[in-house]
Amino acid sequence: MAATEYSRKLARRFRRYRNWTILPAVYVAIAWSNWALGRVEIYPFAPWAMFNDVPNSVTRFTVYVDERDGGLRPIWSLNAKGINGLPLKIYRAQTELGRAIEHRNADEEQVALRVLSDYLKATCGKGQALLKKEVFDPANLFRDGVFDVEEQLLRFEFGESTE
Amino acid sequence: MNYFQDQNNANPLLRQTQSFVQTTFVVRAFYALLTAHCFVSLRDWQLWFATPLNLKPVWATFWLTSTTAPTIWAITTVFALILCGLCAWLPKTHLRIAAAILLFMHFAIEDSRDTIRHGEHGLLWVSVILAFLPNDRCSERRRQVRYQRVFYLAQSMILLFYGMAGGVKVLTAIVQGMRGERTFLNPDAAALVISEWLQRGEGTSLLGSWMIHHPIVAWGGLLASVVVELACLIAIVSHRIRPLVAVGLIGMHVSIGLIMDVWFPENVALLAILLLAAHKKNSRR
Repeated sequence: MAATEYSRKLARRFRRYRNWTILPAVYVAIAWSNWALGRVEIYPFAPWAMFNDVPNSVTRFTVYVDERDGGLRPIWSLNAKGINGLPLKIYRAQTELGRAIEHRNADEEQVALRVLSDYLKATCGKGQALLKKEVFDPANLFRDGVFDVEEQLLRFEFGESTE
Repeated sequence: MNYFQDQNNANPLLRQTQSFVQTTFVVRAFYALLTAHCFVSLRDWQLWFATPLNLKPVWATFWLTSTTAPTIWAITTVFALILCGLCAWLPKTHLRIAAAILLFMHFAIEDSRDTIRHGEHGLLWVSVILAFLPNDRCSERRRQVRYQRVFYLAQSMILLFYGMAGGVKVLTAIVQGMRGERTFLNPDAAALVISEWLQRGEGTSLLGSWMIHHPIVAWGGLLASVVVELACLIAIVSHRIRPLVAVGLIGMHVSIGLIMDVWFPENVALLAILLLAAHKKNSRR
């Protein structure tokens, strides 16, 4: 009885607000259709897909800069803010460079390499850098610092040549 | 007339007027929040003089070039600040419409600079919906009702966004489950999400490391956040649970900030104003 009364109440409320349901319906249709098809988000229709994917295995491409003592320093640690200070364009360029090398796409490789070289030149002047492909289980990496796969893809120079 | 004289809410018309007056204050508080947000945006003022300004444009900013973008950005930020301030003071429809248009462009340019900032979308959509509010200095009963309904739509839109976030998590879990992968129902799920996020940076959040080493606690938080997000869909039609949902969402934002170092102060303020401050104790809508 109470359920019937409540459903009637909901129906009354829907009738009162049915004209206003158009906007949310259009919003959800645009945002989720884009998300489902894997397309770029259309501003300002966000699908609100945040922290939804539980990472089982992560593949990451990271650029490391050679240090004078022979060590390697990740690109995001070159500024004081860490990853928060790394421009998204540079973060993406690492992935684009790695994928271009794997797919043997020379044009995309050159574009991404130029972006990274310019950033490194502006940040550290000159030197050598290394692009690595890293595959890992995030929890294991955080706890034990172990990569499942660690592969060197490309060594390149930036700024003026050190040779 | 003292709108708050009738403490027992015996008179429904008086109750409606009380509710209307309360909503007008909340709307002003929302525009004060927008003003504060635009004021904080002024911190990037040096970039207004940096030409060329490289953009990765969203569709709304395709007409901007790298030389015109800084000027348009400066104009939209400053005028959005002024208009939002005026809207918090003067309840004029044309001011709200102008503020919504300027905010749309302001956020579009900000999103074109780097990445789309979802924290601002709630502010933008609420400002767009509130542009349809009638002037609040009117005594006609029908206009008061229309005012409340537009405001109700703005609240529902915010709840819809959070509901969508919960819905996306459930849909993703179904897809990942069908692939045989770990989903958010796995006790390790929250630790995996947190550690993957922290691996992108230096892992310096306050509670992130502790949560990864205590995955069950983190998982409880993840399940609670999914429940709260899905409850938002119920809260669209049920006003009674809105304060509870709002408190849950604010708690979720604070927790995410402490664990993953991702802060959404605008959203916390938006929830506090739109859902908590606007809650009507004896609402019978």
